[in-house]
Amino acid sequence: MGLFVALIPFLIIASSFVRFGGVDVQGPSAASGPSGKTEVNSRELWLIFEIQPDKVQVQAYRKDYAEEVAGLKAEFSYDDLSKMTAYLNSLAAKSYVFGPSLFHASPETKYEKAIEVLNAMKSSEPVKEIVMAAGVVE
Amino acid sequence: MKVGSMKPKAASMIILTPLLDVLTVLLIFLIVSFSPEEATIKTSAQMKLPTSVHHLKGVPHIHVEITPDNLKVNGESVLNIHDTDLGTWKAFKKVLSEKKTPKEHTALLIADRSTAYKVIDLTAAHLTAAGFSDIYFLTELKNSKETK
Repeated sequence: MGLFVALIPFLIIASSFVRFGGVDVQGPSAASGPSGKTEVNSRELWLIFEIQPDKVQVQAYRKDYAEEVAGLKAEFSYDDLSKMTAYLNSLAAKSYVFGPSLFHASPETKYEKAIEVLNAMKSSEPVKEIVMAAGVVE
Repeated sequence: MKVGSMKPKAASMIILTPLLDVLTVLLIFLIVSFSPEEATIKTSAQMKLPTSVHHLKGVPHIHVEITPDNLKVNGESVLNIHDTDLGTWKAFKKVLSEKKTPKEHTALLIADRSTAYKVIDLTAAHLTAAGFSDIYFLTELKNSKETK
């Protein structure tokens, strides 16, 4: 009986309060631009995540986004972003390593969708660094 | 005539054991769930945050909140979000330069889930230009099991 008396208020409180979470990204100034390293690792991929209102495009580039990697372009719908996470994990399983991943969303996208993608990116183990592509202001 | 035939009522006693159970569980739950840092975050009543499964790693001192009408910095309304004139964003730039300290490189961005990304983009661009190298997007924490 004592247990139930304790459990009921606990469950009521746990379901009533919003707990905060968060996803963090770097601003472009922190990580953009040439890194100064001269060697190019052929297994290193720099990914660009292009967020559109209805889908997400992921394109792989060589160092500093200088050159597209042929055959490493994929599209995912918002309904099943776990496929995107699985795709990133499959690239890591093929011995690819990821450099900074650029996150860019089109202006028409809802904020909620952008966060869904960021959440999936953060959930992917190989993605270490996410850089946000923001507009330029004076 | 019988005198004193009515039995005296037993004095009501407070049962302490379940009360202590409740208080102990509540105390532990509150201590674990609500860190003092998170308690500093204040969002508007109508705000519906997007969801994520990732915990907040610390709470920055600069809170930028985008409501349907206004942009607020640490609770103070800075500009009307519907005013697309870039000149009005100078007020935001000014407030950021006033509030930013040399050691402060992270800002917390709070916005409703239905906000158009162009507003987020413009806000993030100003934060970056003001020297904030990291941006935290505040979300509602969702149980990771729900996402699978």
